[in-house]
Amino acid sequence: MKAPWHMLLALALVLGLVAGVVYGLGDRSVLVPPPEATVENFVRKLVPSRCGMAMDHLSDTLSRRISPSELCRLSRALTRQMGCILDVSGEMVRMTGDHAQADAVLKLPHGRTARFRLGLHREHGLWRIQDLGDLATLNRS
Amino acid sequence: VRLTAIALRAVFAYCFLLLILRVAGKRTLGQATPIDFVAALILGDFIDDALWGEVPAAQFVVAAGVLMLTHILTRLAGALNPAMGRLIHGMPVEMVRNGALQRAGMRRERVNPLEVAGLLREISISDRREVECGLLESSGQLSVRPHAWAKEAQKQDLERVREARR
Repeated sequence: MKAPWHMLLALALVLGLVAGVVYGLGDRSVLVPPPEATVENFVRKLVPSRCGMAMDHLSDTLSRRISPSELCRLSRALTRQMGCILDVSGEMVRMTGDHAQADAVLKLPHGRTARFRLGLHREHGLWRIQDLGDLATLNRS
Repeated sequence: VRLTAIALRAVFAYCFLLLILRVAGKRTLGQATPIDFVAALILGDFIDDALWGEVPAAQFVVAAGVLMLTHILTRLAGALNPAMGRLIHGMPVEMVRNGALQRAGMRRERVNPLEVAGLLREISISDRREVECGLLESSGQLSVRPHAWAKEAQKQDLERVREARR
C-alpha cells in the first residue's frame, strides 16, 4: 500500500519544484510553453473554430473583452480571407520581462505565407495572448 | 535558447519519468499485461507535448502522475482481490494439452495453429508432442509444462546414470 502514497508525495514534490522554478526563478520558456508555442497553439485552435479551447490562451483582460462567439467570427474571417491553411507555426519576435510578441506564420498553398503579430502577457506564470494585433482587423474587414 | 530549453525539458521529463517509474514498482511498465501496455503507450504520448513545450510542465506532471497513480491502484486492486485480478488481467487459456491443439481455446483467443507453432518455437520447442500443457498467458506469451520424457537433462540426471552404471 506504500506505492500510492509515495506516488502522491512524488507528485507533490515535483509540482512544488515546478512552481518554484516558474514563480521563484521566473522561468519564461522552459517549464512553461514559450510565447511562440502559445501563439501557435492559439491559432491552431482558432483555424478549425475550436473557439472555446482557443479562449484558454487569452489573458484575463482580453477574455473579458471578447466572447467565444466573437472569436468564432474571427476564425471564419481568417479562413475566408486566407483560404486553405496548410500549416501554422509560431515565431518569437521579442520578450521583455512579462511582455512578449510572437508571430503566427500561416503556410498557404503555392508556397505563400501570411504572418500575424500577437502581443502576449505573462499571467499566473503562463504566457497569455493580450493583443490580437493584425488578427483583430480581420473581424472588421 | 530554444535548443537549451529543449535540452532542459528533456532532462526534466527524463528525471520525472525515472522517479514515477521507480515509485510505481518494477512490474508496472514491464508490459506484462494489456493494461501495462496501454499505460506505457499513453505515457509515451504525454512526453511528446512536454518536450516541445506545447503544454506547461505542471500539466505534464499532473497527467503522467495521475495516470501512473490510477495504474498502481488498478494493479493493487487486482492483487488484493482475485476476482478483480481476473477482470483486469484475464485468465490463461489452454492452447495445447498432451500434444493436441485445444480448438476451443484457440477460437476464443483467435489464434491459428501456425501461431501456436510459432509461439512454441520461440521457447525452443519444435515438436508439439513434447507439451503436456501449454497456456496462453495474459502477456500474450505461451507458458509450457513439458512431459517428463521431454524435459532437458539436468546435472542430477547424469549422476543417476553414473550410479546405475556402477
